[in-house]
Amino acid sequence: MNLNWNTINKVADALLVISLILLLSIPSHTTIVRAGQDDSNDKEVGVEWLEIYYDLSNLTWTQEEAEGFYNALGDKGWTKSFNWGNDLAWESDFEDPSVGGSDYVWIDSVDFAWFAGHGAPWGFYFSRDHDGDHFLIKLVHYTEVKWGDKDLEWIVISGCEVLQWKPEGLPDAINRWGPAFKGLHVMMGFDTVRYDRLICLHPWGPCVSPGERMVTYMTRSWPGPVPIGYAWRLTTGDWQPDDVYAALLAVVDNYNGYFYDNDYLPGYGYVGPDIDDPMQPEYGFVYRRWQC
Amino acid sequence: MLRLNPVLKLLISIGLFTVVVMSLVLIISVNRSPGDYGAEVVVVEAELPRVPGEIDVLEVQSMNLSRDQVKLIANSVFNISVDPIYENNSWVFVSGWKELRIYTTGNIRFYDHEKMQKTFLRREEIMPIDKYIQLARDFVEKLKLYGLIPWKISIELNKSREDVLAYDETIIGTINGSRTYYINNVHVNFDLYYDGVRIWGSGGKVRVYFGRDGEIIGFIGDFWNIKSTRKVQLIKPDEAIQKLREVGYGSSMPRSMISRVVIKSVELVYYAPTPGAESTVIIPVYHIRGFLIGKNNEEVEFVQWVPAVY
Repeated sequence: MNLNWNTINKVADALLVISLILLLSIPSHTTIVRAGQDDSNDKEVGVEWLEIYYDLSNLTWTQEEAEGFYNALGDKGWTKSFNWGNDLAWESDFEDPSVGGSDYVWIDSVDFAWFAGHGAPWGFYFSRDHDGDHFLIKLVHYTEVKWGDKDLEWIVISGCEVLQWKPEGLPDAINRWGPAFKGLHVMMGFDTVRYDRLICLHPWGPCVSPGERMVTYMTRSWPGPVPIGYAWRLTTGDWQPDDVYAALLAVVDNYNGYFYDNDYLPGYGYVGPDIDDPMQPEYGFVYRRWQC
Repeated sequence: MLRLNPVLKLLISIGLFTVVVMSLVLIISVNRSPGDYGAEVVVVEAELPRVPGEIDVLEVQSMNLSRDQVKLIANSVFNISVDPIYENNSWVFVSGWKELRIYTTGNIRFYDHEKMQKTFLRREEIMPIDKYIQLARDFVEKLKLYGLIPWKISIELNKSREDVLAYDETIIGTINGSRTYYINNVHVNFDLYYDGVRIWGSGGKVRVYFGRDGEIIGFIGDFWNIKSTRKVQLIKPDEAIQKLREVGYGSSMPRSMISRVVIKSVELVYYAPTPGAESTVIIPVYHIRGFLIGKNNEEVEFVQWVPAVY
């Protein structure tokens, strides 16, 4: 091989360029590079999902679940504000500034949000420590959230047992998650454990994302759209076996007799006005659970 | 590029390249570590089922239901007399709040959407359990008359099943205030069997929903039009438990924190997918339930299923 200074110089240059390119690819896995979102309309969607956990068991289908919802709403003209998965899904995106969170930038800056990952009656889990106050790390605990004081109306927390009615040693679902409602209309999830699957018409596919199926129910032109809470009910029935119970928690306007799980998706029917403080005497909560 | 001594530059480049590549390899390997089975002790507190060496694979085919056939069923069984529309491998009837879907594969979904959403019953309005069960039996028997239920599938009411009669519920209350309980519907769950093996899954349900005064306000019937085309070798239940260790428990408890796994039930079932396809397959799986005991003695329930064939 005819090795001279010129060749060495070229090899060194090439290695430097390759190294720089690779170096630039690393931050996308480990640090924040995120875009902003549009606050100018009432049809914004954001999703976060986790499949890779470092100290919990991994999940398989949460990306398809959440992205199905994200893309289907996008196809209906909604603004796709953010889609964070795995290491880029952060607990602080859901948490209140009083505990070091930045929900006002993320989850509380969209109208409809979907989380898919591990859950428990006390909260839902993340893979990396992004906790503003370094307390209850990698977990969004029910005491750390206040949703809707900026924008959020509807949220699906698709993880096991987050909406369990009365877990041992914890308050019931109304006392646990009710204080998080600061304008939020409905929170949807599961009472029991659930299976990490999609809606499959065949054991080996094709499969439909439950998120996409829910959008179909909320927006179908025939036989007509169904309310958001009932769409969650129909979706979970199509999706999970009968040993799973799903649930929702919604605000009730006692004065007008309005249950907020009867909200339709904007543009498809009535949407109740935001209730900033459902702890006032004229308001309350409705908790529903059903067998899938 | 940089004007350094070429040898020095080459050494720096090689060093930088190595560090960057090793960092990437480390990140990728941390992100993808599926083979970590953990060192938990598995305790089986369930009687393992006796299973045959081979089992049928069930293929589902279209029933070629005619418009007149489904109209007769809609009218006679569900009191719906409108014309159906054919979409996504199903005949769909919509009459007011009522929606009935009869899939060509034999599955039925019927909901009175308004009553499913807006029925609120007090406990004292609930009829005796046996009354609901009899009404549900009568309804399923009526459906049998229309030839929708294949003879190879048996429909049984397993009274030992915890949720043979179940409720969907609503609780209304305020924070730290009173609670008012309502029942949205009472429903009766039947089990489906093929050759003694239960059919389970999102498409393995037979359920009659009752509203006020025993009115039927919903129905799910997965009467798959099945045909057994071949037999496959079945893995044994103890092999299924080993497979469970490999696939994991689907629980949030960190694998490294699990000290013991207590298996409470292992059942061989046929897994039925959600209806909607023109044809599909129903496969045997082991459905396993139990709980995980952590190193700090905390307990977490799990349910999981693993394929029962090689």
